[in-house]
Amino acid sequence: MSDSLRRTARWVGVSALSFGAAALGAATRSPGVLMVAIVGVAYAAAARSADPPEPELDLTRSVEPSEPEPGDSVRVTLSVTNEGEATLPDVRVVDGVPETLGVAGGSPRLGTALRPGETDALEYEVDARRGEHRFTPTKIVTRDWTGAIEREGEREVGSELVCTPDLPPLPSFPLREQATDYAGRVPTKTGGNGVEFHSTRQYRPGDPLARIDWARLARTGELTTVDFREERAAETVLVFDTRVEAYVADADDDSAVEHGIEAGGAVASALLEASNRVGVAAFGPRWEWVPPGLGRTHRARLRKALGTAEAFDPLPPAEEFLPVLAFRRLRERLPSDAQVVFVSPAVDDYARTVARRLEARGYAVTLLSPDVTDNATAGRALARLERRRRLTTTRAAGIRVVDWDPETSLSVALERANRGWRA
Amino acid sequence: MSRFRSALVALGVVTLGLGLALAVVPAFAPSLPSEPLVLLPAAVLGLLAFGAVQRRRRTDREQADLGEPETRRTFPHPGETTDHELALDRTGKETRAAPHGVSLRERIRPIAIDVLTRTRNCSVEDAEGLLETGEWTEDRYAAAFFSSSRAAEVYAEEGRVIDALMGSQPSRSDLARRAILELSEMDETAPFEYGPENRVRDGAERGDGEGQGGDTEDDPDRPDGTPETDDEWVNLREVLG
Repeated sequence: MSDSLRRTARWVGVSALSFGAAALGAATRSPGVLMVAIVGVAYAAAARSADPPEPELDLTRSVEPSEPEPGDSVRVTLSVTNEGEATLPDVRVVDGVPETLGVAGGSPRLGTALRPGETDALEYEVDARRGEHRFTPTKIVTRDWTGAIEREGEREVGSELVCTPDLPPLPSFPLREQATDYAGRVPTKTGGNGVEFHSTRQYRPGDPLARIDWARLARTGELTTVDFREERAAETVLVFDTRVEAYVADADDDSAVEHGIEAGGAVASALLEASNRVGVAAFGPRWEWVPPGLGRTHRARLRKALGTAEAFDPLPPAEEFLPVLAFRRLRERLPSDAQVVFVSPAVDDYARTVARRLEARGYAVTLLSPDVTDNATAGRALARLERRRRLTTTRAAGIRVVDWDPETSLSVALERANRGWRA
Repeated sequence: MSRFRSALVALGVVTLGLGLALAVVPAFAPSLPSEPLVLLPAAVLGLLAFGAVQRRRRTDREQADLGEPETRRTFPHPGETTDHELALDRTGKETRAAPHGVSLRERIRPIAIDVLTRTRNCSVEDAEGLLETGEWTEDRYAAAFFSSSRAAEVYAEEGRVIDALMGSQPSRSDLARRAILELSEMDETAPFEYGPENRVRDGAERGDGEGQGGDTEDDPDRPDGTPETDDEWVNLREVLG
């Protein structure tokens, strides 16, 4: 604990009492008034001799539950014990609540006096949110009896609150046609085995009997085979915009990155359910890459990455963002036949540039954009108009866009967008 | 300790000793100095008391800043920077409310054309004409933002009234604010509609996306997947649970 001492100036001017009383006592020759001066002298002397004790405090924090689900109420208790031999007449403790969590109940502040060996505690509640939340150092201020000098310090109390949400359920996510060679559920333009009709062609020896067009054979005598649209698995990489620019808030002060991760997690869930391979990447100063994969273990890996990876921290990154390097790093890892779902609030032009560059490189891009803009002021209304225009020009570049208002269901937004794509 | 303070302490000790002596042996009292000599130290003490009071008045109490850990950190809202710059510019000069030195008018104009082509179902040229004549809105302040002739009218008219009262004219940022809010209102009443130009092209049609952006004239008959009737909304809700 690196302490600093500060004079509070609480007793500055108390000598006026002594001087004033003495002057009045002398002038009026009144011993009683003269004696009042001694009181002031006593106070001034006490303030002069103030020496705040060095606190020997033991701080213990408990977080219950330590791994909650989003929205759970988490009770934080900080116990403070005086392990020294001197009484601490004035101890003030303020717990280092994680910046990303506000206090929902109770108070993270404690003001108390502690005799040797005595313990006191503060309690408060926070509402859990996604991410690994680090408690900041606890502030401690101690004063002696007079309060003329205070000692201020900070103490690290090692504990954290980890909230790793499940990937939210989503019935389906409409992928584009780019697919891999693996069997799956994405209809392709290639004829073969499948469900949806594709075309008829001349019979070739070895074609399954079930695919012969018997009606046509009976009607015209021509032997033809029916082809269906082949269904393949897609390889999809969810690329999350984690630049500082993406850390903007909606009217409820919820971050666009949080909305994006929630939506992206739901998309990953739907794609994994449909036997598609799903990967995750962060497009920002901090790099995160989970290569596309399948299965329960992979689902757990995605959940952990989206929940607690440093690249998806609830707080914006402090590191410098180098766009060329970030783009090259992403390109090097993206499989050539992967689809990209780029998750970005699209509040600046660079988000659109990224989507269009990826599309230009041959990746089938879908821009999934949580809308955090509003019309509260002229500036905010302009940002909303600009974003809408940005999305329009992105659509015009052949990129699918899902414009999602986080106040509404993602499923509804996807259904609306899908209807537009099919139109 | 300064000499003055040392002298003061010595004086205090002597006075205290004298006081105690008087308290113990009151018989010394008649030998005390006469009235004027008693008033002198009283005056000095009074001055010292005044000095101490002044010192108190000049000194602020200090204490540790314990912060506000109860409050969750918030992030900026999109467009707050523009609001800040609009608030700064109350002088009537051109606002530079965008990166790379783009003026606010240059920034808003393409958006205005985009909104007008969509809401009025007109061409880009027609939209530019509407902006220039100020006929795109009934709000004369908003119209004046893009139209120099309308701006001259507004300034001339406002100048007579406001100058007389306050000695000021509506600033460029006042006009910009009205224009933005007017465009926003128009945009909200006519949301994005999915047109043929905006449909996704898959496979071979997908190519270099750079340079393909731009304003589009949308087909009003093909909304962005929005159900066109209440029945469709009900069906959609049922499907999605």
